[in-house]
Amino acid sequence: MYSSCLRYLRGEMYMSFKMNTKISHFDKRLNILLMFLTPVVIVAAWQIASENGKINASVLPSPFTIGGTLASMAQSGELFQHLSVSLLRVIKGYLVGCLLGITAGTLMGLIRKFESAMTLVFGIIRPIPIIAWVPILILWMGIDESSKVTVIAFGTFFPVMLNTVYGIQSTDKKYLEVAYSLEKSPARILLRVIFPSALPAIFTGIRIGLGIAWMSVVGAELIAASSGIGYLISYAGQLSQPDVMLAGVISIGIVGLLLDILLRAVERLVLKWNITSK
Amino acid sequence: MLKNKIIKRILSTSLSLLLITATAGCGNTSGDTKSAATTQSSAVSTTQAGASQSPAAGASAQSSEQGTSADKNIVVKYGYQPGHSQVVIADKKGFFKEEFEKDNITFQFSKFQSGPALITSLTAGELDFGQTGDIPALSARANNVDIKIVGKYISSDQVNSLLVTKDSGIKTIAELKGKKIGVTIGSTCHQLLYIYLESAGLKPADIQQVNLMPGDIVSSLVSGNVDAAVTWEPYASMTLAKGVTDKLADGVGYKKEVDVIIANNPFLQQHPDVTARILKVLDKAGKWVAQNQEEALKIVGTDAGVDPSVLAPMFSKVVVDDIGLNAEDIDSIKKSQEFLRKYQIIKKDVDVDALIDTQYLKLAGIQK
Amino acid sequence: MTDANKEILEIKNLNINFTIDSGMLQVLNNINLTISKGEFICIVGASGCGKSTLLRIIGGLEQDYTGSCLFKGQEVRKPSVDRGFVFQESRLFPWLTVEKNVEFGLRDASEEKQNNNLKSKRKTVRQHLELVGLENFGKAYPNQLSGGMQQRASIARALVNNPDMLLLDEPFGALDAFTRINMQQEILKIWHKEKTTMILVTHDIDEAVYLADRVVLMSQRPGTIKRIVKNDVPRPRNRKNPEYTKIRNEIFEEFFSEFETDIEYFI
Repeated sequence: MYSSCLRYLRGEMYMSFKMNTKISHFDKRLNILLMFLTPVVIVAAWQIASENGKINASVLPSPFTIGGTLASMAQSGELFQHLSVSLLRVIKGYLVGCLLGITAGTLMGLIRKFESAMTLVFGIIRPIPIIAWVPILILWMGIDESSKVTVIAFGTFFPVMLNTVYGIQSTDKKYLEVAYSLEKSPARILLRVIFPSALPAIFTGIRIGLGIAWMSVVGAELIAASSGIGYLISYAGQLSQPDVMLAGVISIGIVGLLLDILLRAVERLVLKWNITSK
Repeated sequence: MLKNKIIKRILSTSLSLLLITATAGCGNTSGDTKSAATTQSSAVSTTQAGASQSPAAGASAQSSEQGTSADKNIVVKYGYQPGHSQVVIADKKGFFKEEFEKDNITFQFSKFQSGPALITSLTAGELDFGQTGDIPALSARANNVDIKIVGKYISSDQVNSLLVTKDSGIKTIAELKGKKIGVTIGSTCHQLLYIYLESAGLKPADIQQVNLMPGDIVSSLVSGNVDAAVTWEPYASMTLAKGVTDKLADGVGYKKEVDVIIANNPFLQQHPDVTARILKVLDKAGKWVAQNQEEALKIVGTDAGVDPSVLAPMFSKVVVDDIGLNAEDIDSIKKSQEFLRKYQIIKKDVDVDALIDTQYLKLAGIQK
Repeated sequence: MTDANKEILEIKNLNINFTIDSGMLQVLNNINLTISKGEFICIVGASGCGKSTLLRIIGGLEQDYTGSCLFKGQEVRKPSVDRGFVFQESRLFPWLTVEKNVEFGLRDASEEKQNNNLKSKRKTVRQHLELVGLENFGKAYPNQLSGGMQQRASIARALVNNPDMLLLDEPFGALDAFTRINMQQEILKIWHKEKTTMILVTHDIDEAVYLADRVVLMSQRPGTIKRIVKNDVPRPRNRKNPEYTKIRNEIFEEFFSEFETDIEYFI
């Protein structure tokens, strides 16, 4: 069986190399089946192991337990209440972070001197993980919304800014020359040539930023909050309720996935010209 | 047909995956190194290690080694919190060494900022013994952690306090309504806060509970991030010492709490004699503390990283010389269980009588 | 004295140097050229002879030259929509449709009040798409068009302001032989219709002979004008016509005089 597995995998690999292999209808359905089958298999294995006592239920409850908790929390509205609090914080911080990131990125991309000026400052701040900032921001701004929104804006800022700089600096000089030959003003060139050209990179940045924003809010809420999904998780942790914790964790993952799917759909719409070139 | 071959392949792969996952579940967790933070008065305390949990799969906790002969060559992993005098004295004054050196039994101590944090470590299999309030112990039992309460280390109605910032202008418990109250969720202060609220006709939804570790409670009160907080010694005294808060109440008239010594049941069953001897040593240390309070203060203060003068009030308030569990103690723990059920913090009843195991106290001669 | 109506471009003693790693390189040396309104000029030479640089100077894209380059009596120091430029790559913006790309070429609204009107803008764009034969592809994106069609769109963009002069820098170099011949017909069609003065740079001798009224031959290192050959062969031109062949051979000789044998030059 081992050798036939290897042969099969090799065939799959070659298929992805060949340029003109169209994915058959059957293969497409197969891929979707695999996509849903994998988590089902994992959950099934987990449930079986839990029922046979192979997994310490105090540390990792069975999927059915967690599912039941998730359902009851959804029903009581508790889950949505905390999720929406967190989501609202994310939206606020995310928008601020994106705005600042695109602005700073544009300035840094266009003005060499500004980029040089900010290189060291950003270079030192960027590697610091957001989580490390949370206690300090709480010290400065208290445990209100503002400290959490700031944490999120912080986390969003860097990927957005960096990708914007990259997008702007990699504008094809050929396009700029065309605009120049047509006597376009600098403002018009920025708006009608540089920005659209940089948009794919900017979208990459804001997609990464959204992921980080969502992760940051949970981190900010783990330490000092009175609401939100991070609060819910740490609350449950201190009450020895691993099922609630995991229900919270799973819903974080689901919301994160949904947010990404949403943004991808927006990107496809705005950048439809990019897609057709693939 | 190719399609059938592929489907067969997928099914066989999934089956193998299933089998692999099922057998992998058999493995034991390895203990991670513990870390804990004690509070410093000024700085914002760092995130607690107790907030994270060890990897999931594993049978229930076991002590690290089984001696070749039943009660020799053991490392006892003991978790406690800053200010717990008996265990610190027993360690620093060599009482444990005196008793156990000959059998090559040693102790590995870990400090935790709160009961819930300690429980997290215990659940993950990193501790054999722990010292927490009754609330965290009950919560752990409700989570099916196989522990027993084998003694108490504090019984007092003055170990927790309700502090309010001077700026908040709060003079009565009723005025807590709508305010931000800092509390370590899952601790005995959590219960006390709800008892306060009940006394003023308020519900938990009437206030904003801010879940904070005790160190963060201190700094939050100082910086005014919260209007009030319920916390325990030595943190309460530390905060009062800064002069920006007032004490509105403590446990007097509300709840006399019992803080318990808990242990992993498998360890107890394997080493009943060692357990009894540990309790004997702790009892001895407790009595020593009562006789030598000044020296004890210095030692415990050093261990906690807190000025002895700040710890002094705690010493005089708590009963340290008797680690046995009497009827009053058991009743208090039962009331705590009812509280947890009432507020649906635990989803099912905990049999307190089964949870408490006095046989080791009896074996040690501390209790009849 | 120049005849202001007839001479549209006057270049006198033009020189330009570029700085490269190993020092200064003289790219153009003593260029003298006068072009009349409505002419079709082709500049022919080997790669690197500076013909593109010359065209770019005329277009205002290279500015550090010495000597004079006058367009309608004015010194050329920056680009102008009156001198449309077509590059070798179509350089259409991938994020805009063909229509929008051509529209982008229009003068900025603040300068020409009449262009502010959306309807007239659309009309102009439409007209120019028709001119290059792309009226059915307005809503397509550039990456959906073939190379030839993309280049036609870029020509439309350069012409949308009805410039006096169109400068084309090896516009058909990236296209295959068949498309190239088609495009040569197209550009002649446009030229006949719009009467725009055309200056086209190419390395293809045959293309130059087919299209131009006068062919400017350039030698390299440094780039100078070797000779200007007048081409009076009447249009439409037949590549087999003996007069046509004669001029072609003449020019061929200018470049490849060392090859004694009579080699037929195939397209």
